[in-house]
Amino acid sequence: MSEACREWRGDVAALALDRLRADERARTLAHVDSCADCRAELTVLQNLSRAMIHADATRLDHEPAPPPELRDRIMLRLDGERAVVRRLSRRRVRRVLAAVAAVVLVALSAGVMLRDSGGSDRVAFAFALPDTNGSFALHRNATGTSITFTHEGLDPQDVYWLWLTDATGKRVAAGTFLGATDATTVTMQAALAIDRVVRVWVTDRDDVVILDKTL
Amino acid sequence: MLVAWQVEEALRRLSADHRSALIEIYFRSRSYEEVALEFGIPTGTVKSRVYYALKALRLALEELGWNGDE
Repeated sequence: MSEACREWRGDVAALALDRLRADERARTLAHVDSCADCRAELTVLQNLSRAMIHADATRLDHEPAPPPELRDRIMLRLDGERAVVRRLSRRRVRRVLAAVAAVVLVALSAGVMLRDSGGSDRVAFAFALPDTNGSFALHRNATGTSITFTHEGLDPQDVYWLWLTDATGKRVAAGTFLGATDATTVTMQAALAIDRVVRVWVTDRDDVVILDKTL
Repeated sequence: MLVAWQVEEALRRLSADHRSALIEIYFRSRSYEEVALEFGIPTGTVKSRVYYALKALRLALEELGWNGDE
């Protein structure tokens, strides 16, 4: 409502509440018919007046009670929120499962490739002795696993044992070899399938472990 | 029922002057002149007060989630 219609405000409100005498009503309606702002204001106030029909002024002095539909509305909203949380949780679980599946797939693929190629990457290690080192690689063969073993710095006068162990703790001898000061490669054989090997280790003549590599 | 609660709660939020003007004029169906006499103010002031009371009521109703439905 514009400032120019300021004097009509009270009458427009009274018209909306249907509280004007006949002459006031006719006068106000004549103005409203010619004034778009007041017509719009009257529509708003009449809408408000119709909403007020539902109210009971005698209840205003009492403590306000929650609207009767409040519980249903809250429950409806809660159900909606729960559904969203459930959807998010399911999505999260699916993502985790997909990630786990991807990791398993990669691991299985690696395992298959390892078995298909019949061997493993060369594994470097250090003996539990000073100035010694070496590496090994496992290969599948018809009777179990062959080990290509390279060592350096072991006492040439000494005899060493190479062992493989499976997951049950069963140990299988791959054979003996002599130490060498320079890098030396030997190939040995153990009657244990390559995919069952979990540990490669070496003992000296006193049965002291000088290499222990868990795969 | 929800609208009734919203209107009553909105009325509670009005100033005492606005609320009493609306209650006397609308809910008790008293004339502007009668109310003006009781309050000791001009009739035009009662009309103006009712107008501003309705504006305040509308704002309070909107705060309560009233969407204009009757």
